[in-house]
Amino acid sequence: MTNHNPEMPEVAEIVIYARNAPGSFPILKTKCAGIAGCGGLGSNIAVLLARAGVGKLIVADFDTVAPENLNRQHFFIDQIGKLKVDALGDTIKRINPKINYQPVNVNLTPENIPDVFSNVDVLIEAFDKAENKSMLIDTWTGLQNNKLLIAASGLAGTGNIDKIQINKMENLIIVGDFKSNPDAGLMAPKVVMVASMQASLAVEYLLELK
Amino acid sequence: MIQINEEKIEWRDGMTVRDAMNEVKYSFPLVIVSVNGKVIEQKHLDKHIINDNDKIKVFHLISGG
Repeated sequence: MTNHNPEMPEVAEIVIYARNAPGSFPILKTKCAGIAGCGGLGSNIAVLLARAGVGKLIVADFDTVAPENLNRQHFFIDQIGKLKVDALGDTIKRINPKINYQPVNVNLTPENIPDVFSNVDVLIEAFDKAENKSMLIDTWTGLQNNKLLIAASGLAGTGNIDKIQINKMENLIIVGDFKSNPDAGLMAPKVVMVASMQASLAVEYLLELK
Repeated sequence: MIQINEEKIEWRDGMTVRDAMNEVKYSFPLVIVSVNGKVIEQKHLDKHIINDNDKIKVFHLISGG
């Protein structure tokens, strides 16, 4: 779609991504990443993948933007009350309107996960609650589709960032410190750090897929 | 001998993943378990038989995101 709004100038994608890793844009442009959850992890991961040049993003969440999200989630005060997947779409379009952004406003369940993420090249787990993390990992493992899932566990509080590990298994990578108490609160620096590690692992994997 | 995270325990014929976890007293409710790098579905933890020299990894799933 051509955009004639003077506040949204037309910029060639090749220029947007000129400073990315040489040769990465033509590969990532053809790739699709799924993001399950659009909170502290998911909203930041989507922005990072958009800036990395991933061509298609499927982002699923059922929630709306609330004031208590603004400490760590990539939303803004004028987006309070909007569906998270729609608010994030507006932000992604401001980075690169040519990204194929697919918002999915659902509560993800074992029943709908195979359908929502059937066409992704990589899936990223970005839930808040451990029960949902477990449900997604178990559902994805059961599908035996050989597609990588990148999950996170343990990112609360402010300390222990030197304890964050990347554990690689067949078709699953889990990032986190695996022990921080959720009652320690969720602070942007650490949450975004783990989100960034998940996004970086996804980019690395997508580039290897060719 | 099998390895479960950092611990080494004696292998027994017919031992399941759950048996090994019980032996080292892993009772955290939400875990992801892999055997030799392969993720085991929750419903299979009680019946997945482990072989001698298998490496089991157990990861806690903690809320926050």
